Amino acid sequence: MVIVVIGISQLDRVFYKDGLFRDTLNNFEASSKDYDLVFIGNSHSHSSFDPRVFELELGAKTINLAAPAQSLVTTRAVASMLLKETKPDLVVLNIFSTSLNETNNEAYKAFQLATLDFLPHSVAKSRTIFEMFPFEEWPAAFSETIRYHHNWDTISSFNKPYNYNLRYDVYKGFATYKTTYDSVMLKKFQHRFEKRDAVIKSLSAKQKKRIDAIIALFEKHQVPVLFINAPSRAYQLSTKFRTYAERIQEYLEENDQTMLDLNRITDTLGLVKKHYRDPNHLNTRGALVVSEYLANYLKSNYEIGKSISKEELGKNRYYLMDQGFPNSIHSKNHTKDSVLFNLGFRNTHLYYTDRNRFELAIEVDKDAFNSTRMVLQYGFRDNKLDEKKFKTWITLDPEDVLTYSNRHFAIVTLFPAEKKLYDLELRVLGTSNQVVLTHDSLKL
Amino acid sequence: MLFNSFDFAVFFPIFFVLYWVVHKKLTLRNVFLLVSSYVFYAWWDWRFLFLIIFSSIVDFVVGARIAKAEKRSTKRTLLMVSLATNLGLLAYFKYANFFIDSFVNSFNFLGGSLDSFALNIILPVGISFYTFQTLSYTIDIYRGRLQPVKEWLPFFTFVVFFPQLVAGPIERASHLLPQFYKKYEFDYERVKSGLLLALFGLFKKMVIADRLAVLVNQVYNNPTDYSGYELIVATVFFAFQIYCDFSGYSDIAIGISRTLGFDLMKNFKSPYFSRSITEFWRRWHISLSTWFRDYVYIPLGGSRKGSYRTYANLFIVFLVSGLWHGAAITFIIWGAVHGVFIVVEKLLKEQAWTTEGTLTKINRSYLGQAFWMLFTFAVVTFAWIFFRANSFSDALTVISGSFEIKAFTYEDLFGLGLAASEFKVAIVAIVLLLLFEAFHNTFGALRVFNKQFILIRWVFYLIAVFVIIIFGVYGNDAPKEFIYFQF
Repeated sequence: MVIVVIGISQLDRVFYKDGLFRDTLNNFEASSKDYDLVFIGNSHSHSSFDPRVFELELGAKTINLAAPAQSLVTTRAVASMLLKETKPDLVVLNIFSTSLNETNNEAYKAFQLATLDFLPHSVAKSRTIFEMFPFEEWPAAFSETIRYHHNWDTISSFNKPYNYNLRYDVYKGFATYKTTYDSVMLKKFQHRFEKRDAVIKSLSAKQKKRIDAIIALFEKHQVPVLFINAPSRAYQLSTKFRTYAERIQEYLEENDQTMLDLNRITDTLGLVKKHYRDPNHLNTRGALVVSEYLANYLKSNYEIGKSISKEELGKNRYYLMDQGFPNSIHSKNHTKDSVLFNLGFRNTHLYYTDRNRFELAIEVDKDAFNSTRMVLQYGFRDNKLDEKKFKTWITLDPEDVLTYSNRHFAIVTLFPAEKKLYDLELRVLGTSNQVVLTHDSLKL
Repeated sequence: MLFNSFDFAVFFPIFFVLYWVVHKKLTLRNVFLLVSSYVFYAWWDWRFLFLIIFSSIVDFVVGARIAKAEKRSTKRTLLMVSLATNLGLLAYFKYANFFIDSFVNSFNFLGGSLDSFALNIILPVGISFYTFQTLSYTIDIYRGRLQPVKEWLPFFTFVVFFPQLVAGPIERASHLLPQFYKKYEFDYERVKSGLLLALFGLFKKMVIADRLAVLVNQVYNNPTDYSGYELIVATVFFAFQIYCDFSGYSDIAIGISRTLGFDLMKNFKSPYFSRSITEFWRRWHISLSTWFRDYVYIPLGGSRKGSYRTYANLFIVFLVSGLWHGAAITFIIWGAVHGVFIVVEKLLKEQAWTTEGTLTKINRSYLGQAFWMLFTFAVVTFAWIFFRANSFSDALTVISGSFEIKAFTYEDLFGLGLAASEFKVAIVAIVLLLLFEAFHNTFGALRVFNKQFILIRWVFYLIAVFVIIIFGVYGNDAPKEFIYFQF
């Protein structure tokens, strides 16, 4: 029996499915775990708190360990893992109605497993699975082999190649979303909220128990926790969302906890439609605004360490913007007589951020883009065996411009599997058909 | 509780350890077995436990009374009580809707006008099996072949003994009941061979039967969408599906009983190696076919009342066997097809030209035997069409569609529900199974296996476990129940 269990746990490494949270944990484990500030929670935390801003503003070594649709029970397992490994000066835990979800449908369970799968086996993880999954689903919840065994014919290697074509652009657990929503999406959200809307008068005993458990966990480890509710347009659209937040805040305050509901100050923050990816989540622009506000709030209210190293800061987009991109691998200024300058392009910088992730920062005039079509292509060697060519078409609109310190940037992210690129080219399409940046071979 | 469920994977080890803790005290052991068996059954639906308890009480009391009764007529009346109770319950739960439907259809056919209606009856799992098992007890006492037991505990445990409760083998009281009076000592070799057999059963169920079920279900649930070789492949796959499903259950039942010290009768002996339908029924669902032989065929007169009566008796037995499997015309036709072939075989065997001369020599040659094996398999597989089809008209669709010529393409073949890789696993697994059975029938696989070095044996056990874990079909979308649970 023991041999079978060991065998299954080894096979789990073969059968697992790649996921966002794996990347986040890889980030977490990539350096020494002496984090000063950690964000946990679900998608609101994941898309609202950009570690780069906190690194820069507070000097704090920061990571965002949030994952989409995470329930408070799963967040507790993450917190438990975190507190076992390190003792940050502050943990910011995003909490709202979805965190206390009491439904148990397949999609919900899949989201929880998308986090739990990558947590090391522990009592906390087991307890979470026992609490969330019915008895007959425990084996599948614990083991990817049992859950995904039917994918046996797709298994070819114990060492899966790095997933270079990630759907999400994630930096230290923070999800970068550049776009904003349209009226169709807004209508969908409104319809969804209308269908499920209700006034929440009180939290259930089970929900209170879950909040109690997470408070107790932080008290046990003597790590301060700040509960937060990141901005969502649902706050205006849904009575249920709003009243849930009120009840959560009341309960937390009854238990001597601090909750910062950023939804109450969205006007002060100046959050408008362009700051949201969808009516429920912020995009990068919104995250920048919120993160800057929160960094100032934390500076005034908490003692947070300043462990970020210069080397780490050197990978930080905002630091590089402030410093004029000192670590660029490749830089190009577009002179006044060039076609690109007339198109609004000022300069282009390619720099390495972390773990095979590059960014191209194109500084532009504010109004440079209007459905500007570009193509980005590059080659690299995947797993040192196969040559891969990557080509992507990009359409840039005014809303894709990220404004930082009154300068405007379009950021393009590259995820090659290797730190070596060749035949890199970024070209503006259309009548101008200008090469913005080109390089035969880049090696770090 | 299903043998291939996580519930059982947790239940059995706990049960097993506790069983061997209490095994020295017979009464305590039987109480533990009885309670565990009730828990096992109640896991599905506790309400139907009362039905089993009721059936147990009736047969325990009737059995004792039959033995005590001096008059033949009293004995017969008491037997009728047992028959009426058991078959009455079976008729109500299993056949009520079928009879109502048949009555309404016949009435309307004759010019009447009745609206069809159905009673909302849930079929208690295993009712056909435990009913026949308890009937064997009262009938054998009536015949004077068995003495009634004085203690209720062994009898109640015999009725509800969980390894074979829901899908057999249908044990005779004379074979299984005395085993509840015996004490067993923990025997490592028995436990090991029992677990190995159970593992083999799980392999047949989870790797073969449930994989084939994916294709079979897709085709048989939409038979008009398929033709030619597609229908033939689905039917052949069903032949192996039902074999692996049912014999897999029997292997698990026999295997886990063996780990507890009990012996259950063998239910299958490589039936697809049969060279005649008669031989097939000596190898397929042996516990049921011998039950029908002893309690239906022989009371009907067996072969003692001349050829024509023998043919009629055989045919009746197979019709009843069809009806036992399910309340539908398709099962009756399935039984009838077997009945017809059995009668034809018997008729031919009685002709001198089939048993003498050149034909016999040809029949006995390897080629001849291979031919009859394939022929028997073809007949059995043809009959399975009626067994599996959702309705009589579906069965006719499958039969007529099978004769249509359809150009073979891999795209069509792998579009029947099993992707290419899954299809290949199914074929490899079937071939391995048949090779294993041929090897086992010739050399005795277990004997050869046990002679191997311990490391080789343990590597084999582990490989078998991981083959089931990786290649087994389980999870949310997989078929879970054993086919014979519905009977």
